[in-house]
Amino acid sequence: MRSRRPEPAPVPSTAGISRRSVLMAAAPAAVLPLAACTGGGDVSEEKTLTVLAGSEIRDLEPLLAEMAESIGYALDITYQGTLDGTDALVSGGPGEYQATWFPSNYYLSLFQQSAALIDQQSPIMSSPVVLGLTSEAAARLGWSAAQPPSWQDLIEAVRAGSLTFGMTSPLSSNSGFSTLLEAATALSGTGTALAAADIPAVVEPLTAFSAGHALTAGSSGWLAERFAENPGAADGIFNYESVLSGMSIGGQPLVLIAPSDGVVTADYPLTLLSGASEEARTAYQAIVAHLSSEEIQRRIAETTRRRTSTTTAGDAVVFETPYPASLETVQALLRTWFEQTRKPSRMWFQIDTSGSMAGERLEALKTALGVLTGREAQSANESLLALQPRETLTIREFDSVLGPAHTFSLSEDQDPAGVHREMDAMIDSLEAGGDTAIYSSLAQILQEAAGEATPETFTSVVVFTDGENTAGMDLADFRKAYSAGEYSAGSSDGGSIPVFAIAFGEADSQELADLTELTGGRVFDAGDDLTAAFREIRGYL
Amino acid sequence: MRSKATAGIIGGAIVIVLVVLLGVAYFSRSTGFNPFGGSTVEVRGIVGSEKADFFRDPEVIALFEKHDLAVTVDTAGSWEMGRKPGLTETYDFAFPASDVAGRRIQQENPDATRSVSTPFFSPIAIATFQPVLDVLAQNGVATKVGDTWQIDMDAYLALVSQDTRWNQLAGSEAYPSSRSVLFSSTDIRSSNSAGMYMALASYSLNGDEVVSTPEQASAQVDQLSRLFIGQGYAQSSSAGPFERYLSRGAGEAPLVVIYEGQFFAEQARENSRITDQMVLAYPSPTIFSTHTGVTFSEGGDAVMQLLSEDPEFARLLAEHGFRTSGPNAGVFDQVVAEHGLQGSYRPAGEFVDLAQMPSYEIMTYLLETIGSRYEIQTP
Repeated sequence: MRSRRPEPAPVPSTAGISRRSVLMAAAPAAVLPLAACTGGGDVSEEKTLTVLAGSEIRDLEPLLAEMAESIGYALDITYQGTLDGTDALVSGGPGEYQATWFPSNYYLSLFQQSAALIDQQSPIMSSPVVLGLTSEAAARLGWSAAQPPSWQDLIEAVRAGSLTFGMTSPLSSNSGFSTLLEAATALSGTGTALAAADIPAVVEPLTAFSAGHALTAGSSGWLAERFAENPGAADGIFNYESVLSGMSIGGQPLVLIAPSDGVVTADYPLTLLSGASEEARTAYQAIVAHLSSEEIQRRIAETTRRRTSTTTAGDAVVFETPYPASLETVQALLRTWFEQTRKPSRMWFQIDTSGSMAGERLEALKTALGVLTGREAQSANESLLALQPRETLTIREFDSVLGPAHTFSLSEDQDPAGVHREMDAMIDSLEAGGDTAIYSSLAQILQEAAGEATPETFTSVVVFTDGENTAGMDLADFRKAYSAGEYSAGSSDGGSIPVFAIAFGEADSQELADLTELTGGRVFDAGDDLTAAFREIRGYL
Repeated sequence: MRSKATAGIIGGAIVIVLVVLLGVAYFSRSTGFNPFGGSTVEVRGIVGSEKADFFRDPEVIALFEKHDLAVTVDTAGSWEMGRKPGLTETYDFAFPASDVAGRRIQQENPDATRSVSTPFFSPIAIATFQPVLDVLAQNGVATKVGDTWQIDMDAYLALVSQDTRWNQLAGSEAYPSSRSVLFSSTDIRSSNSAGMYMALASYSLNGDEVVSTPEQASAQVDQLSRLFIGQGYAQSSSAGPFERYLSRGAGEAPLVVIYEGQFFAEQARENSRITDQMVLAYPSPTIFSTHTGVTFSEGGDAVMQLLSEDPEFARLLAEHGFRTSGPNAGVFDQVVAEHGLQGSYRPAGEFVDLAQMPSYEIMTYLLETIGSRYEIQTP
């Protein structure tokens, strides 16, 4: 087990989605594994490679466990998002990691440090990021794998109100980033890789595109789960071909659409980091040889639906989107997305400041809330987690009762720093005391949030707590009222406000998991790194 | 070199004694040496990724063992490997895919270098697809000469300078991409095959003459940069783009700059992934990549000598698509014929239109100038 916070395992779903990974189905929803050592304790440390990896490769864990059995080499994997993990490597060096296994090394390769960080890399498998549409939507739009729309066509469909979609946050998840890059590159119309100078021209079409953005998430796996559970929420989702081709909605497989201008394909390079020991190098070579062998390549293709050396390209020609060669371009694109074009977030944070939070925990909370004001940002990308132009955030403390609302809005022409400093001052004034009335407080917040929710924003509630519910209504009461629609009255969009929860200290993770499942949200176990949990949850808002 | 704790202190001591006895300087690099098992010498090399499959082929390993050598290799881009810290201490030989890169390693390590040799070479080629060639043929860019296809560099470079999109070409229904016509290569900043492509393009742009003056070189920088910057991100080693070519089909990249041998090695192996739609074309003119071994130890010398002279190695090299020179020239054509693939690969004698590499200084100038263009892209 490692300390860095991974992306939580997708919540298993039994209906709709026919995912085949045994391991995923076995992962409990609320108890989130921090790291997975594939192959158990039999493999010695010298024969184990410590790997920082994207959560996308969780579905390989059964094959990796078999690998440990058959060749005696294992991976000790810590999961983290591609951009996040890369930023950490670039700023902190390999540290405890001997290797990485992200969906792609594209982003890492943009940093000057990459040459010094990467010893060698071997792509193991691949999967493009495409649009998976319900068969009904595909028929209505007249699109098919053989007759794919261009990105221009996609935007026109959104403008006409006939296409809504889900995609992950480009900051937290490689599939969301790939989707954004596909769109921006195609819409720039240059025919070559996107350059920073091309970006101003794509602001308008990207903004139009965002109007159809109905489902968001911080991870590809969770987006797929969410869509499978709630297929009415969008006409389709952007995700890996490997994830989408395993899904069906209403008994019908999704129609996979690769926009005619091009898609971005993840190629999953297993990468040996510089400075790895002789033992690690030997282990790396043995593992790559094993994973690249014909039998394992075939099994990867069968069990994960990714393309490998044993699969042949399909009949339809799918064009590949070139990737920008400069870091500035990528950062400018992300900045544009969050500051100008993305559908803005309306966030409600319900913050536990009961007596048990006094002392170190309160300090940890203040630091973690700094994620939302940018004062904890350690990279250009992390600063995008702060409250962005067009977004609104309400922070409400609760203990025995719900405290007053502190609401912060940032308009497009406002200096963010000023508002962020006001938020900092409010956060620093938090004090601990009293009981923990989770559900009574949440009921009040949901009613307010529902009253304000519109389809033009992503409205969500985050409940942070470090203890069990000790006052006011309990979960059963809440569930009853929630199911009766008491908290969505008078709203155009209120029925679908997801409630996310951050479990800290003695919080009851299982109960919070039940709560978030009820509302279409997700629980995050903060472990000992509350700031990382806040960073991660921001990807879902 | 990190210590192998598992070997044990006593074993390590014996190894050291043997090192002294044998006077073998590269022993500190040995990892699994068995002091009682005979005279097998461990040799470690760093090679361009295009040669990794060769060195990891069990038959090649077995043949080296027959000569009492246990050869292991790491891979790196040919221009990158010279910058590896501790290159000459970690490795017994470096084996980039160009004589210019090899000479650079030699120049930077004059004391450690024992020998430089060029046992085999690979023509630069273009991996493409029949529908793509058909579109190019309709537009006068590709022609079939004898049995093999060739792509006219001047006509191609003209399309690039006009920023032609695939869907603007005659007959492009077969390949209706909105992307610009552009070869895909490796990263010019780190990889030899991209460097070879750049050298080739500079030769064509210079009216089929080697770029030999700084003025000629700087006049070409804009056009050459477009060939690489326009691609966006590129992989750092040549195995990458070809692997993508094989696994992704024409949509990934319609025209991929490769070494000819990569295509042959794939086509010759069992369960080849080369379909009848995949075609090897030669640029016209083309350019040879001269694989250049720079040795830092006796073990490295032994490896290079075998690769240069041994007929059994020549056959294995040919199976992997490398054309041996010297005493075993002609083995490649023979092996191609044995696979029934004569016609798909141009016989050695028929390369008439060959571009030459610019000097080390001109290459360095062009590579560095183009490389620096990657960093200034903000408006």
